[in-house]
Amino acid sequence: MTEASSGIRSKPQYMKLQHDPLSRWNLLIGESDGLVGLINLLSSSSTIKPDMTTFLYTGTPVEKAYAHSYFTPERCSKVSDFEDKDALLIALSEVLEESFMGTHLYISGSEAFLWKVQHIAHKCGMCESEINLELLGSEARCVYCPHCETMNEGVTTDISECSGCNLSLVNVDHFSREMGAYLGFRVDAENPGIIPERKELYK
Amino acid sequence: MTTMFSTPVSVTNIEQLTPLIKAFTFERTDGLAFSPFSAGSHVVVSMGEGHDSHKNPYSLVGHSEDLKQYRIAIRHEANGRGGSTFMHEQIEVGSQLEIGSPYNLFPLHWLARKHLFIAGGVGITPFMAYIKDMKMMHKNFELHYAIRNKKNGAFVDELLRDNSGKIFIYSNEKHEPLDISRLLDKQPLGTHVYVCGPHQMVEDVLRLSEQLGWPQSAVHSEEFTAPDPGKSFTVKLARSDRKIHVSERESLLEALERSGLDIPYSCRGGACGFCKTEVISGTPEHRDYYLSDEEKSSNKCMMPCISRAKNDDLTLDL
Amino acid sequence: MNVVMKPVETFRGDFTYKNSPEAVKRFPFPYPEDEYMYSVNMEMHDGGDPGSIFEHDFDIDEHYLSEMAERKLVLEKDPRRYAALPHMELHEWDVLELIMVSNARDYPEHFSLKKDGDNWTWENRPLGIKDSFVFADKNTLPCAPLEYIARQCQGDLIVLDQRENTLFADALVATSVADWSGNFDVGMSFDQWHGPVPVAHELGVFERALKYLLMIRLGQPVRRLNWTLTINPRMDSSPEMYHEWGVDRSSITSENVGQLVNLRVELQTLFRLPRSNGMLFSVRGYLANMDDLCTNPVWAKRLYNVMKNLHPELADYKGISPYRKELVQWLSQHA
Repeated sequence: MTEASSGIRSKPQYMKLQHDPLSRWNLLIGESDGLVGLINLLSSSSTIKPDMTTFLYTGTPVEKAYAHSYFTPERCSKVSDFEDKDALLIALSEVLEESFMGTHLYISGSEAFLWKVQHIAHKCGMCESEINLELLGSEARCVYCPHCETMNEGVTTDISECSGCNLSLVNVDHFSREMGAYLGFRVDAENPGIIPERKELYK
Repeated sequence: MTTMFSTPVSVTNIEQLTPLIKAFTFERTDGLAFSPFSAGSHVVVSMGEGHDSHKNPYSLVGHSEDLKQYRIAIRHEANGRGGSTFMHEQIEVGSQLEIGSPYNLFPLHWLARKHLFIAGGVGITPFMAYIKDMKMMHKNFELHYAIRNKKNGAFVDELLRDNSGKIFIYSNEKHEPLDISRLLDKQPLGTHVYVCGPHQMVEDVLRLSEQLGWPQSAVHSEEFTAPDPGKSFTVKLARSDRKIHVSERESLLEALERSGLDIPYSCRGGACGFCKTEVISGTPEHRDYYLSDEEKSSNKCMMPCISRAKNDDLTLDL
Repeated sequence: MNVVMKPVETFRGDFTYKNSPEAVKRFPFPYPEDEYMYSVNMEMHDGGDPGSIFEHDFDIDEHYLSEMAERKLVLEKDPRRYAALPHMELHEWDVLELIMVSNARDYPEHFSLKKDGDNWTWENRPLGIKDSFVFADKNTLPCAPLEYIARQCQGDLIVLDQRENTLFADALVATSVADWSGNFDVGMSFDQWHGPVPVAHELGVFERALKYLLMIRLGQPVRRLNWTLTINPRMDSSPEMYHEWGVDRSSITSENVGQLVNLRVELQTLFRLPRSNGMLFSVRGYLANMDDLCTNPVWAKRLYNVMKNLHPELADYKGISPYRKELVQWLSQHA
């Protein structure tokens, strides 16, 4: 994960997961479509040791079943799946508390999921170079409304209504890693009532 | 940023910490208080005159509570270029010196959840300031300090009086080697390691931490590198249309200063970036840690505090 | 020179804020040329002419009481204008110390600081404050050290942590910002918080500026001026309140340009913080309307040329485009 080299620089750029050969313990964390990224990571790397690898996952029952069929003990010694994201994040915090320097995170899923996981890792003192993010799945945005402090999740259009103050917000590419959100602001502030047609941009 | 702050100080106390290490306490000659400083900072001490003048960086060990005093510790390097010998042999209580403002190339990383300090020999000096801050800010830390023997270990008595349970001293004499690999092996996530000591120790920490999967940003080191002596050479200064001779036992920066040029500097060891100088033509022999590989191979700039020239074709934009 | 403070005026509602002729005279007019473009326009902040805004580390002027009343109002309505990450505690004390020591030295008629070891007593006479506290013990202050001192000095305070060869805006008090959100930007790196600024990245301005900033030394602060335009003397033109003030940009007519369009100049200073090795980025805003500025014919002409020549992307970014035509036309009477 790097920063954009043109346009608004705070917008994250995601890359395909690649194993860092110096990573001793590997924590693979995924959600729904992110499974593909983690399978690709495992199948493309000969340096990942199964007994040093942990896999945490949440998705639909079908996705979970598929995950278990791939993440067998020969490939990965510790495999856990979770009811939902929140349960996964709680378990992750516990795992990180017990982990050592040399542990690297490989995270794959929707943008909202990536930054929730990243936030927890950051709170445990992990650096950016220990955390690898691949965006697979929904690109729906978390949009922060500065006018009323509401965090709007799952925004797929450039303009959306804030669930807190009902103002029409336009979201821009300015991204806060602390919040895991893009900045929005009232689209018709300068010309009240004139709201452009919204476009579906982030599916 | 070209003018260097320099403060006249007088030496108010000298302690023989070990047979080779002396601590010096300074006060400002104007009687004012010093600025507080961040742990890991160094000051450049200017001493002597003419051919026996030196400017050497030393880590600050600490300050008195009222900030009237700064303290540094210096190991006598018999084979060095003369700065430490000057301090050990010529400086006495009452001597006058000048020191620059503190500058930090070895700062604490405040996001760390645990700070792991590894010191060897006189490399203990910056950690004395670190420990004070750790305690003041209630941070999680450990100090691992390797010495040859108790007699040769600076600040050992002071450290042994500490009862935090976070200070570990390893004495060669007692066959208690510091096993860096074991120390780094299972540290909790969010640990940052800081090393200051002999070259080999610093190298070991850098190499082993990388092998154990530590990210570079969690590994901090400081090593004051005195410029290695080299062959003498002559440098051309384009703007002032002069030729300067750099002798075997002085650095290019020192030769430029001797010729009356006022070049900004701080670490005088190729790390801080202050003395970066434009090269017009010729090939510098780069020895610094500051310039990127591309900058070095472009030969458009150099760090005169530590880098030299192999022959007389170097022309600087000075 | 003694600073004479005016009674409280407002930066909202009825906008009673006015500059005295002396304040206009010392206004930091920011354009060295007839054409404006970003540059690394930094210089040493090592004093200036007596009475000028550069004379002291932190400039205090006739608007002190008004700006402190405004800050109190904003912080009470919206406490998240103070935002700090947990590792910034020592940095915050650094800032408090720097400002208290500087202002007690530079404005002894208004402020005093007595230190007895870690037991400090601070007196702010204009605001009627006298507090004793223990340095580095946050339980002895009524609020966080950064917020405490920000409530007593003009300008926003952004506190930077230096690590990994860049600077992070990890603590701040931002109540008088020009269109960026402190609460949203807290924790961002230098490149990230400058993300939305157009053109400058391509010019390499930020890369060079950052290299320079990382090497700022103790006791050798630097400064630069930045500017934008604001409708009405509104200190808090923040994104938080944009839904209320944005409409002002559509209210400009050839009749009201002189009164309503304000040049907002920021004296941005950077100080190395001694104990934490962080940095204080102080953003001290000055507001003056076009009528006041154009009492100076040299400024009037320069303003006309700068506004006429301004790069369209910059005009958009600074929110000037909706009324640029009216502004340039009005200024043309001075050309």
